[in-house]
Amino acid sequence: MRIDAGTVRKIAALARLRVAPEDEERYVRELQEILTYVEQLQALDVEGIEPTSTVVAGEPVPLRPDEEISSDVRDEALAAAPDREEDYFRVPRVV
Amino acid sequence: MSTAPKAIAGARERYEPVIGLEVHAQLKTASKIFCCCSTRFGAPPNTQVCPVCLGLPGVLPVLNERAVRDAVMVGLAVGSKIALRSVFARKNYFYPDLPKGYQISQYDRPLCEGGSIDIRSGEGWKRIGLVRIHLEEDAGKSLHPEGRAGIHTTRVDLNRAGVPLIEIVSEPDIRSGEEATDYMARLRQILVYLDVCDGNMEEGSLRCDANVSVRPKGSTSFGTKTEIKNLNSFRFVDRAIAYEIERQIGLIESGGRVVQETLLWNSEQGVAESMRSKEEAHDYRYFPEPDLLPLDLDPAWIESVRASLPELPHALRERLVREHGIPEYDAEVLIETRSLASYYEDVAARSGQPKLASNWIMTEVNAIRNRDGLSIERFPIQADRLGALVGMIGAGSISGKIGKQVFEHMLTDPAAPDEIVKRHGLLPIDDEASLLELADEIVAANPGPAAEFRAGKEKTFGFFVGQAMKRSGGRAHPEKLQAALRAALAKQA
Repeated sequence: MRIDAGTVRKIAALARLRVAPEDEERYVRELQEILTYVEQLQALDVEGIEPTSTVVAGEPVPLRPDEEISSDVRDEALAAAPDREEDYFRVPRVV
Repeated sequence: MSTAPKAIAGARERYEPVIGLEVHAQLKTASKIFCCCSTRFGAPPNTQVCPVCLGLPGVLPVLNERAVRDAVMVGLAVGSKIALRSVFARKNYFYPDLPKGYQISQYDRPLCEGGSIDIRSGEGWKRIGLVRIHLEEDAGKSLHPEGRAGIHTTRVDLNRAGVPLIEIVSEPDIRSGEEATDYMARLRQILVYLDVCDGNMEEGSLRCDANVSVRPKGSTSFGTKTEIKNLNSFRFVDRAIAYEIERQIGLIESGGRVVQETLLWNSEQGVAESMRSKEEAHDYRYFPEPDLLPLDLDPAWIESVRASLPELPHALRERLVREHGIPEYDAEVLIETRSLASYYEDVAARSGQPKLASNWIMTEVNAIRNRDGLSIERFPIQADRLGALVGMIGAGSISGKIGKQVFEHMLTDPAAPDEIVKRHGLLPIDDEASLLELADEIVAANPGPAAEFRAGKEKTFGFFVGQAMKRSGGRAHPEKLQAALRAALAKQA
């Protein structure tokens, strides 16, 4: 896959990162290097091999009984937030 | 966009709408899907949160076993294939009500695949295929208070963040707003029968997005689709889809093209508005959730869940028809809820009158329930008392008309129906002497019609029956009254 300045800007936008125009070229180069390195995997024939979504597969996923336990952390959470309004988190208007 | 371009007259018949629904149903668990916070609706803002659902660093999600069980029950109920291994995935996007910056969902390996739901279509039944059912977490709630000068903020309540959802994705087998509404209603009924979702659309326990496109009739390829979000009532599902079908046909007929976009249904104006958001070009960058192991299920456990399934609506409907000999239409009305069906079965058993019992519940009982907004559990006449009343009517000991009067009394009077009949003087008049006396009186009071009858005008007889019934307050025994009237008319000839 070819990485260009447009790809860098798109990924930055999706990740909500501000990338200075003078840095774009460096990111293009670095991302391209990373991808080229990883692309070596494409050479392998993985036909019929189960995809690995975790390296500890085979372990049963731990399940939790459906029990309600209150954490009572509202005030702490709101105090740690950048902004609050009454008992809500307050953010810049989104619509 | 304030008005939809009207489809050119007659064009509607040349197009076929193609609709698929994505329904999100909130599971009725006590705690959230990955943490122990309460799922209760309507709590004060941000009181049901913890480090996990707040998305704080260093926490790990732990899957709620009840959520898995509920989702598997739904899959089994609609005939899905349950995956022995399914995988959770991160769906990445930024929105203030999504604290982690991603939603834990399932992507390429969902819990359930395939299955179907049968809906009504015209006179018959139609099978709507399902693509998949997967588990995911809900987001929080954003509130946008209006009319506060100079304040341009959004408030966020995270009580709902992390509440377990199942997303049920249909095949594009639906062809109209009505079919979509019926699909929603039947899906809701199944979820409520399974007791895994409360089905409350106003509170958002059941939400629907619709993918809509149109194509020329006979075509097998698909037209460009739009997605309508925010359909939170049956009425909106029907209206929004009908609106969008009209809009798309109008657009094509006037030489335009449908643009793939996400629309938001504005129920106040009755229009679907473009969301026109940069977020439109969705790129969720799904990848397997590294904090959760694949969900492996034991086939024996799946079978034990299957064995625990309750009787489902379609099976119950068929059984009512088979065992009680009532029409399918009646059974359809009676299976509205499991409790209404069991109420019916009790009334039918107590009265020994299955069809009459069905009539009384569909008309009298449902009229009162609709008027007063009562579930059958809160209906004031219990099944054994209604059964006794229906039994009396079926045996002919009181007429249906008197039965209705007794029924009215029973709504506020807990006494048995035969007791009410006695107390309110509603006993039938069936002794011959009293009926003859009544007949003589009516005939004597109406010499004109009596002469007509005797001159051979048989139709006049109905007039005498009506008069006599009225005079007796509906209490006269119908057959015996007729005999008495004929005798009275003959006697004075």
